[in-house]
Amino acid sequence: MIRKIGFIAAVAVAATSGAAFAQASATVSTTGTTRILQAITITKNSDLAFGSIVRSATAGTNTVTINATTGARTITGAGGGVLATSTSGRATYTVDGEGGQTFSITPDATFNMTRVGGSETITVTPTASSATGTLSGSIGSAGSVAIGVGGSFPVTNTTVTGNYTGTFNVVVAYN
Amino acid sequence: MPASKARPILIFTAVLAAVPALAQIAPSPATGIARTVATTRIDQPATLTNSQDLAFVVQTPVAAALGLGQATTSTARVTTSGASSATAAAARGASAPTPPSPPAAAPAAAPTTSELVRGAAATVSAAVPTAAQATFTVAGDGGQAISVTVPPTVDLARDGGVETALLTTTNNLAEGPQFLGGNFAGGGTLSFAVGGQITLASSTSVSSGTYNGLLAVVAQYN
Repeated sequence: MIRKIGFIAAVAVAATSGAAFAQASATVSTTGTTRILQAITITKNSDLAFGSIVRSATAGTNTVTINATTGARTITGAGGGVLATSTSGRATYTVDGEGGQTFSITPDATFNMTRVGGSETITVTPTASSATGTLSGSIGSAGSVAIGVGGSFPVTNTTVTGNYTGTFNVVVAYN
Repeated sequence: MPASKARPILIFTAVLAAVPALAQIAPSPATGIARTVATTRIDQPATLTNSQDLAFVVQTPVAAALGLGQATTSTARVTTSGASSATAAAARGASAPTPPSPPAAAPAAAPTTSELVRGAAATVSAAVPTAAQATFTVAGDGGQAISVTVPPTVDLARDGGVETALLTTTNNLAEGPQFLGGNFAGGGTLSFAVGGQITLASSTSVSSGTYNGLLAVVAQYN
């Protein structure tokens, strides 16, 4: 008889004490992360040079293009303009930053070149070799990659002759 | 609110408004900006005008008729100023700057010597039109450097035949780069002339007739 009572009492104590601990605290494990990147920079190595273009002698429009990837210069369109032998080339840059990271490349949508000694302008549409790039290497080390920017502009038989120059910006940003 | 207390609040508001503008000018470490220069040069079309052709007139060098018994070569020249001259030489290399006298036995050939009297649009003919140098004018943007290319030789072919004569050209272009006169704001020109010489073997190997060829001169901006 004494043995039975003792058993019931022990069970009751255990049940009571378990309910009291669950109400007082709760624990969950959580992960905190971050990624520290070194600053991204872009350094210009060469400017964008369209070279000399001989405008059409008759009515018509040509488009002069510098390929952003190869630097090749072409002239297209219905006008009779031609490319004169001259030095030309795409703009080239080096992007440095955190290895393995991707970034966007955004040149100005358009910009003007103005005639030296005059006020006439030519509107240029720059084009990047790619909309995005990837830095070499992997995170934890420095990476770099070369990119290029070309562009195009129209020239007609009435485009005022002369030397033209203008500036534009290229922005790179981590994705 | 007193005016003295309102002023600091207004200034603080202005500073806050300027912050976004500064952010656009100075890139954050997450972006990079490169400023780039673009250049080009637009030229007006260059034109090349040929105002006078190159003409030689050669009186037949009848070496055989002269009884020389050996082949001769004759050279007719037209300088870039239009002056014409001729020399003759034995094919063996003996110089014969003075034309040989016509033999008495061949009076019909008298007017003809191994000397080429005047030069021809590579004409080998008894007719003697005026010899002339070719003249050209390049027009385009003033002050611009151009390249002019004159072929060193031109093949002339006989009208109605297959015989050819080789014209070796000369010109009066200065050494080095050529420049159109004037400055960039206005048009400029460059004029030059092309002469040349034709060397023919003795008449036994030369067919008389009119010889023509195309002298293609190219001018382009540098």
